Amino acid sequence: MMKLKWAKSLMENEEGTNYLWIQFQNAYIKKEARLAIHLPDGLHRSQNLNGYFEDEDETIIIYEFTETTDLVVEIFTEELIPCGERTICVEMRFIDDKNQQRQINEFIKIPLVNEDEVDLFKLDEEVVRRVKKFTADFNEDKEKSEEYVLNPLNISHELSELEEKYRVDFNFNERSVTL
Amino acid sequence: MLKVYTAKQITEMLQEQDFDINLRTVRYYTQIGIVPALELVGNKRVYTNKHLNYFRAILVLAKTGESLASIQKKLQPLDIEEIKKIGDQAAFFQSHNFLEHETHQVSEDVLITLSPKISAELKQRVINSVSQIIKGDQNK
Repeated sequence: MMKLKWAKSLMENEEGTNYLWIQFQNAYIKKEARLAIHLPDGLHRSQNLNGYFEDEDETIIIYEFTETTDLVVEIFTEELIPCGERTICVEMRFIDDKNQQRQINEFIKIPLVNEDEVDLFKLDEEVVRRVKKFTADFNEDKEKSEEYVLNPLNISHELSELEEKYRVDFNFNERSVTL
Repeated sequence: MLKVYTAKQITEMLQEQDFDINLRTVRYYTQIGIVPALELVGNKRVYTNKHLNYFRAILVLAKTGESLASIQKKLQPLDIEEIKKIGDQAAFFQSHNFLEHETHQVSEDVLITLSPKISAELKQRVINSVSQIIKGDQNK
């Protein structure tokens, strides 16, 4: 149902970055899907590069699936954390082609190594090519978009003196005009 | 003597020049070959000014909304002087320049960007002078 792949087979345990590519078997997904990416301590992620909506709980919501719908997120480390393997869980809830609510979890491991060992990584060229197609100006440090509060329009129903005097009332049922 | 830098030093130099980049992105761009392969000095792989210029050019082109794939393709046929020139245009992409500076198009090929600190009189003289130079050149 979901296929997870890394751009790099290893990543740095401090100031390291990697990209996770999630592909879907879209034929089974009828309606919107909600995805949660569960990360162990010390690993962080960017907002998704595709630009899908993310709610307050960082659940990614994909409203419509096409044959090519996929998802790319940057996973990164900041401060130094212990080396070793970590597991990431991607949880997806969706309505399937038989109108059933479903949930699936997929797991993927990533070894964290120190800077000197990272040269041993293997690149998955298919994932790298996919990531390169996104705009290079995507800034992973950006906060979530600021919220803009739109004040509701305040419409007064009081009529001015002139409006009272010259208004035209028209009723389709009564078909009468009062002046 | 060849100046060499670590990834951290390259990141700091770029940040000092107002580029929006962090260490992990510098490392990632290096790992996927967006910048040329690092130089080997002793048993250490290091960055040089050539790499600094590549990063500056990539970050300037990124401001135009291009994908990394497209940027890589555009930089491939260019020599290092041309790449340096792209990086030198970084000032045009700083937000205060968009907000405050005025840009005048003198001809199809010449644009003048002026700071609001320049007086209206000087502004006009600069535009007139450059216009005359362009006209003179066209009449040759």
